[in-house]
Amino acid sequence: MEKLKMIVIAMLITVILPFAVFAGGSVDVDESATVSIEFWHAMSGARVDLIQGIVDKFMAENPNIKVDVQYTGSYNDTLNKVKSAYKAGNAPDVFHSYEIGTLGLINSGIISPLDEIAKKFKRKIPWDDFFTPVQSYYKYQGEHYSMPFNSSTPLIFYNKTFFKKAGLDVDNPPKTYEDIRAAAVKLKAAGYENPVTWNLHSWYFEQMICLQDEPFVNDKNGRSGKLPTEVVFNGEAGQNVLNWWIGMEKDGLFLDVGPGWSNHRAAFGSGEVAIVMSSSSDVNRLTAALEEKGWGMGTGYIPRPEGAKGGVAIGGGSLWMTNNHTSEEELAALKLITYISEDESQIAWHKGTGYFPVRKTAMDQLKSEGWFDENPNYLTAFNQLLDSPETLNTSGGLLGIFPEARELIQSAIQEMYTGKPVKQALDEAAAKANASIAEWNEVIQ
Amino acid sequence: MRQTKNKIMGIHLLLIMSVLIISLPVILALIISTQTEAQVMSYPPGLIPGTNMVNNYIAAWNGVNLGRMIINSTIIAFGVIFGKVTMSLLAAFAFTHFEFKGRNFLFGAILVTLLLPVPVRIVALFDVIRSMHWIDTYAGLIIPFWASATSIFILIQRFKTVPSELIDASKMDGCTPMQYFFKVLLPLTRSTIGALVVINFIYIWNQYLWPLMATNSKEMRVVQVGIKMLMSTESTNNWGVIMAGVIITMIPPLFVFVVMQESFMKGFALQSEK
Amino acid sequence: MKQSTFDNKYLPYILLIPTFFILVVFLFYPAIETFRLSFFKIHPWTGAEKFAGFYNFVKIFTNRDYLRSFILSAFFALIVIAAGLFLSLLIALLLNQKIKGMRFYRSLLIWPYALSPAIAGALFNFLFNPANGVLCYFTGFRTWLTNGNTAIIVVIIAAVWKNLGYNIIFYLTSLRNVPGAALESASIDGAGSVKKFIYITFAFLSPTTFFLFVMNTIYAYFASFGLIDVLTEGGPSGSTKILIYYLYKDFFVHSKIGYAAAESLVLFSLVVGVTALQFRTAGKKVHYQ
Repeated sequence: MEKLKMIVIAMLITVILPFAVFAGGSVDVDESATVSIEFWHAMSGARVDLIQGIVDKFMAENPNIKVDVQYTGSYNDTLNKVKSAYKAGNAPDVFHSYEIGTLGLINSGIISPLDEIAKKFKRKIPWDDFFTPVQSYYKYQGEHYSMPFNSSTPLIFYNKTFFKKAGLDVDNPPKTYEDIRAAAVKLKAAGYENPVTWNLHSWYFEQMICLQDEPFVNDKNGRSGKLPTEVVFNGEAGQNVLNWWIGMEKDGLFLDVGPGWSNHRAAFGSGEVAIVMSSSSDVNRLTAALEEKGWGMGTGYIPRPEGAKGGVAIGGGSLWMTNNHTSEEELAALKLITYISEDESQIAWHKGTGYFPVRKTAMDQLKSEGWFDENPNYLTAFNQLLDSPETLNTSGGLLGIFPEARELIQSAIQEMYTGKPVKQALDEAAAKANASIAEWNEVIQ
Repeated sequence: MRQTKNKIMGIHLLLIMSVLIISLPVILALIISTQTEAQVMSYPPGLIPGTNMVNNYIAAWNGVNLGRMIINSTIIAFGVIFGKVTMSLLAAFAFTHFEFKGRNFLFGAILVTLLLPVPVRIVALFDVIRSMHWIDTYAGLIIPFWASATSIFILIQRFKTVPSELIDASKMDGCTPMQYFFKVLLPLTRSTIGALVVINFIYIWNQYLWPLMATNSKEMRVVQVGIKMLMSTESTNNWGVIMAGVIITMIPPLFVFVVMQESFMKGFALQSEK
Repeated sequence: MKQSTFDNKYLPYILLIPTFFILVVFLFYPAIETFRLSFFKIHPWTGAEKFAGFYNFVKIFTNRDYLRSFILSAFFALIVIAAGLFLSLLIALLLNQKIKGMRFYRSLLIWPYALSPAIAGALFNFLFNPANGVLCYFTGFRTWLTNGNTAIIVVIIAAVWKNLGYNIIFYLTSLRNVPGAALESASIDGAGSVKKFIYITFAFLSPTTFFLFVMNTIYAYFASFGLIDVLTEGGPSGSTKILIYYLYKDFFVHSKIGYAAAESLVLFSLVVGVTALQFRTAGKKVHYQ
């Protein structure tokens, strides 16, 4: 009897739902109405002007839409500001979040899912044109919630001049943990005191778990539709990464430069280290730094344990729309973020920053322009991404308290630097993360 | 005699050493603020002035809109000072020159606020400001700071030293209380007010936590937060530019400090007597 | 001495209205509301509340990281106070000598007071950054800021440096108030009276020391936020995460609003303690002068 009832209800829903969607779809909106929207982003420095430039072009093409662009500080700052602005009833129409904020935002109750808005205005977003790893990261339960914007992966950068001096193969960058270690030993023997570094950031750790095709959290890496209840980064894959990483530090092959995005670049640019891991969006910057000294620079995939079969997940950020806006504002916001994802914007963005374009057509255009012949290092990042198999693990883990988990992992790594055993530190971080997850899952309901 | 001379030399030497050590961070910052990124990045670090001073200062000025931030900080500092001093003067006047019901209770209530610095009530204060739509406005950065137990106490101390005869004489002349306040009391209090202004200017200018939380847009940021933005973690640290920004940010409070040093000293003295 | 007063029934209240309006809206109400929120679980995005009794308090006081922060804050404050007062007293004693250029020296020694904690943070971050920090190079030690044991030292040095001027001014002022006759006789008597000199000076300095103790406690617990946010962000591994930074993180970064409210109450009880001490100080002062 109960079952029958359920079936009837289910049937009713399936019959009514399309109408409901259709009813929602037939919104009457004046496309030429003058409308002004707000867009908050987290890209500092020269990137502020770059984004403003893209938006200015958008406004020139859509003279009825006025976009107020604000740089609102780091990703964390921006999210906090969105949070408080939302409660105060003046949230921006569009805001920029890092990839790890995804599950939190999906469950926040303050956003409008991108696909839903697109459907409402009968606009089709050509998801097939987006690189699979890019769009699959931001897809949850078959639906896209936000527009991929700035995308990057980590890369290995190495100083070709120093490689030559140390007798290493200049055109064949190290690929595995053992390769890196062996190269570091040779470089050290050649007089480079601290040959390897990267900044203390959980991102590398997460990526190197993906490379082993292992999840970061349970419940299908957070993508099952249920809220994940536990992190699993303290498993064997996570330990592999850190045993190698910390081992190099202990043996004096790795220079600890702390967190932040500045020190490791400085150490590479000054020639103190010969191998650095950093974001692929650093290609411009690091190439220029080494050129200034007359050194050559090469790039390679980030290392993995021998035989590991996974790939990298996309990092960076995406653009979200908040709810509770008029249809005119929603449409304008949708047009804006679609415009930003299109070829012209993405090519300008790529050339100005090193983040790679999110769409295949943009990539094809860059190729036919000969851009990659001049800038072969950019191709490394693409190929690394395209060489990655698509699995739940390489789509990237989703977790509501991901930002906090990152802090916990970084704290744990710092403890390892000062002597705590890898497994113990990871287990402790996981236990703290799990406690926070339980609380978050309870309070978010 | 010789011994005294040696002793004096020794004191000079020690003082000069202290000055050097205390100034060292800023001297190094000044040097770095003239260097190019490559000069800054060189290891071992170069300690001679570089060739990029103008560019660094321009980059710092433009990079995070430092000019606007300085204007904001200035507006906020004077907005707070004006309201705080005015309201404290009125309150201190009420407490010292009138007998009224509930005087002790109200004075006690002001005393209690010494227990409530911003961090202690920040969680709900943030909600209050938000529900007033004051996030990211001057009002949100200024008005909550208008009431100050410390300023009221300092002014009460000052008012108490005004001879009673002046009040009696004013009353005799048929002055209203407010006439007495403006014509007699205020002129006598001028140097105390000056001291309050200077002390509060530095205090407000250097505030960090509240402006960090209560502002969103780059138009509303204050200089202290600008320092952090110059060092933003999502971008590179060009220390030459950052130090240029730091130097620019230091100038206004240092200027006030140097020019109004006597007011400062007085302000400090008052603080400890409250 | 009783001061003459005006007779006016309403004016004093009118004069007090502005101040009390601000006090009620921005001080008393938020304080009570924070107290109330500390008994709730609160949704990070929408703000929906669920009553939770003492849950938040139990959670923070069974959290090892919070307890560590609690102890760290006390340690940090104590060292900042001890080192700050000691150094500033030394410098004040030097400045109190009758030599030429005293005013000049005084200005050159106290000016860092005018700088903000955030600026101090930026300066020391630059001096000690592991990639090319000048002081890393000259000390031959790279990991000042990446090692938890040394990062706290850098934070302490920066905190002391920034507040030195403030302390020097107060010591200098109160040294001036030490009766010359008492000291003169001590200095004429020669070696045996060094003890006496110290004793006399310290007796006269103790009210100022109490006052500075209170002010520096508040400084270390609260005002150093800007310094830490710019210099270490509480790291590495929480080794510089004092209570105020913990509160900021829980409230503003992780949106654990109930925890944050409970942590505010912890800070409140601290302020109550310090203020009680301040009243004792005021009492002492009357006693000495």
